[in-house]
Amino acid sequence: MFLCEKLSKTFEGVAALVDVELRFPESGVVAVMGPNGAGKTTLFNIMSGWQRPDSGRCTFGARNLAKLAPYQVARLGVARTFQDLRFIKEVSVLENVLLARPKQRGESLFRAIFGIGIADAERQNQELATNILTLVGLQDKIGSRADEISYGEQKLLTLACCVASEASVLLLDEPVAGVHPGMVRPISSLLLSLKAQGKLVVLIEHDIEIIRDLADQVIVMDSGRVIAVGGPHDVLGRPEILKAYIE
Amino acid sequence: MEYVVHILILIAIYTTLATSLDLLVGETGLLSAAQAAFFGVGAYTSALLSTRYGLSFLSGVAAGMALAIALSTLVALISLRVQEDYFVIATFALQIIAFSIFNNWIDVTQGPSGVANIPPPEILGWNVQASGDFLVLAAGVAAIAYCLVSRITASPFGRVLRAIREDDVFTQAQGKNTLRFKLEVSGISAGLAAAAGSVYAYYLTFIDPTTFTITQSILLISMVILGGAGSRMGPLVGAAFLVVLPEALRFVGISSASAANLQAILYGAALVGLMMVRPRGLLGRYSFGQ
Repeated sequence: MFLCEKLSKTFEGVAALVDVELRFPESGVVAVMGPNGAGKTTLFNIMSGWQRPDSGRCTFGARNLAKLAPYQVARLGVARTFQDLRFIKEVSVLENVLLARPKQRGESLFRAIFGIGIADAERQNQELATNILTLVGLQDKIGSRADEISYGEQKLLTLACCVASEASVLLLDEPVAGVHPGMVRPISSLLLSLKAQGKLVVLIEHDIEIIRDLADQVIVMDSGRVIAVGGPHDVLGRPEILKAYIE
Repeated sequence: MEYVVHILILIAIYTTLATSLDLLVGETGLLSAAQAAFFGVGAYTSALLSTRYGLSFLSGVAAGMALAIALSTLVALISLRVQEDYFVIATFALQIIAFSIFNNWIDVTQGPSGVANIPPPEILGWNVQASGDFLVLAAGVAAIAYCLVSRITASPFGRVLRAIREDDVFTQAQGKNTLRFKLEVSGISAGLAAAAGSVYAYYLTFIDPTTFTITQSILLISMVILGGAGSRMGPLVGAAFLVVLPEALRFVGISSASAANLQAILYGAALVGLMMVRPRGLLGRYSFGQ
């Protein structure tokens, strides 16, 4: 269970989060929406261990995430994407997905030097990574350099990395923003399939149609505060929400 | 012939050094200004253990590598926990401190007088005395460094290093403890440089601090850039070019005093020209600094 309790965070006197209380479900799709500066990305940064709250805490299972480094949070099973679309540009699409595979034997220096048990593990990882890339529709781009595929495909690549990490919680920062309309459907299908696998997908999203189609729960934020939580039809039906944040 | 063998031995030693530095700079994106210091730690440790305590070549190599790895881990641990840029500054400081120790701790290092009369090494019954023997030894160490670095870079460990080089944040978000990788790779790099130092000390039978200066560290960085960062054969090409260049200048009738200045000018011109024409170096996979 992912819990945020009384989270507060300020940057140079400006409140980014104020007493945020959230209880996420075990699985499903949760959409976080709100205007620029609402605190959505700060919330993600705290939930993934990249920033520490000034007060309050985020817990996943029994672990207080403020006491963990970002790589430790990732190892707990919390994967994330970034708004500025981070991935390794100068290597292949396949290598990016391989990098995301957890607990790789060949990442031990000793095993890397002496080659103990690496070949079989690497073969298995390559098969899994290939399957994941096929699942997200990038099977034809496996050997392409990651910076030479389209923007929408790069978004799919970052999702493929999250899938490859075997995380149970995926924090996705605007997964369909800026992509070609033809790419929206495959990304949406992928998110629904992740939900069907029992994963929790938390996404920052502005597209109202996407939220209506995908989300089981909607969180609306403004000026660092959570101002509405509920089902999409309930929250998106409120005139004040529609007026202030959507229209 | 003896002269050619001498040049080949130097190329082999510098190839080991450039290979060790390329693992750090080319693969991981960590710029170290202390490679000459680790080279010196290996050379002095071997020389002193041999001349003062009569210890064997292999013992000297092992001790030099262990000391270099310990020093490198300490510097990396302090600097990399804060920010990557501090690693350059910290290694620069280590280089200056190491030179000061080589030059001024006279009771141990004999200061500017250097350590002389280093006996020829004996390795498992093999007496390394002739130039040809030293060429085999130096080339063997270079080959070991090449194989070691090749194995590391071809493995999932190497994949993480390349990821760190490009985007540390993304790499951590994939669950990788990037500090652990950086510490281990800086240790391996320092250890290999120390091994090259041991071979160097035994080959010349004399060492003094002037070989282990910041200029030497810059020369090694130049070799990596020239040969091409992140390329396995790049260090060999860079080392061969920059070892042969000053020797070639001698053959065009330039006095040794002028040659030193001309050499510096040529280094600079070659590097500037290369960065303009081919930023990846001669064989490199990445543009330096990206």
